[in-house]
Amino acid sequence: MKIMRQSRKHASHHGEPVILFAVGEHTFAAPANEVDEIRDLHGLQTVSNATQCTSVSKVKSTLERSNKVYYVVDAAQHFRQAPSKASRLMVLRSHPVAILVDSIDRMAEIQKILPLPKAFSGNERNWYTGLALMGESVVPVVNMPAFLTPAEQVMAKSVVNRLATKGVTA
Amino acid sequence: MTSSMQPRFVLFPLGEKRFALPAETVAELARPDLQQTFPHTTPLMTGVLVRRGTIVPVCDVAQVLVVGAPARKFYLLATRKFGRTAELTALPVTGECELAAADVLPPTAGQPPYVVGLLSLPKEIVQLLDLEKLVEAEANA
Repeated sequence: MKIMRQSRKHASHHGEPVILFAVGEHTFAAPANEVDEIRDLHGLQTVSNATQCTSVSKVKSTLERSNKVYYVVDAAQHFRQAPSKASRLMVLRSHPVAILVDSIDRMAEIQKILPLPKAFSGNERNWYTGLALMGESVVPVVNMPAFLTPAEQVMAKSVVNRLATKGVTA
Repeated sequence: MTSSMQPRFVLFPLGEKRFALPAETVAELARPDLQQTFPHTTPLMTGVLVRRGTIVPVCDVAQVLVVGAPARKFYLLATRKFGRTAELTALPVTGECELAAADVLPPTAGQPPYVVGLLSLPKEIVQLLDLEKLVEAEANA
């Protein structure tokens, strides 16, 4: 499923479109304009043997798409959750990163993103841009670039290149 | 000192024990609400409540203060300060709370740093807590 790029001229000013996705028992919102494509898991090349003992162990695979390599991040591990059953891939638009998630729920429009309460002081301050109120449900809005920082991308590239140099096929 | 001049405190139960917070830091006692969770790494935080369109974080101080507290029945909404801003935090408690006036005695030796005083009440001695120090102690643990 290709996510259509929304023209600024025609953008709705009523709310922000998001993609609701699930990881384990939790639902998250991804800003729709930061996701280029949602696809199944075909075509992934696992690199988890190479990354598992590194600081980028959450990078499980690579995906080659349009002559570009994407690093595939396990969302469950990123959010320090128990391993889950990933079945979908969200390919980001502005980063060479794709996110493994359990399922895509639906698209929605959020009217207002509330700031994360200051009482939360851990990694979640980087993981989320805020919290969306959808009816009575609170859904964290994910800070997509935080899935794999530029420094982590360099590390992942180095690990993957080393794997390629060794000629190891995973 | 007459009781009207004594400082006032909110006493809240966690299982068999009661603890106290300065009354001016407590906004209300709320009935059980649906607590919602999302992944995070902040100690003691167990989720959030939606109260009148705002999001209130839930901080389960019982994890530090008592062993094996029974199910929490109510939420005590206390104010925490973060720099210049104040924010409500919900503390799950196990029963009804009480407003009391009492003199504050200094904490005895060996009390944890978050116990900033003792309230001598007719039938019990109640620890007066500094919520910030309590949260900080757990974060540094």
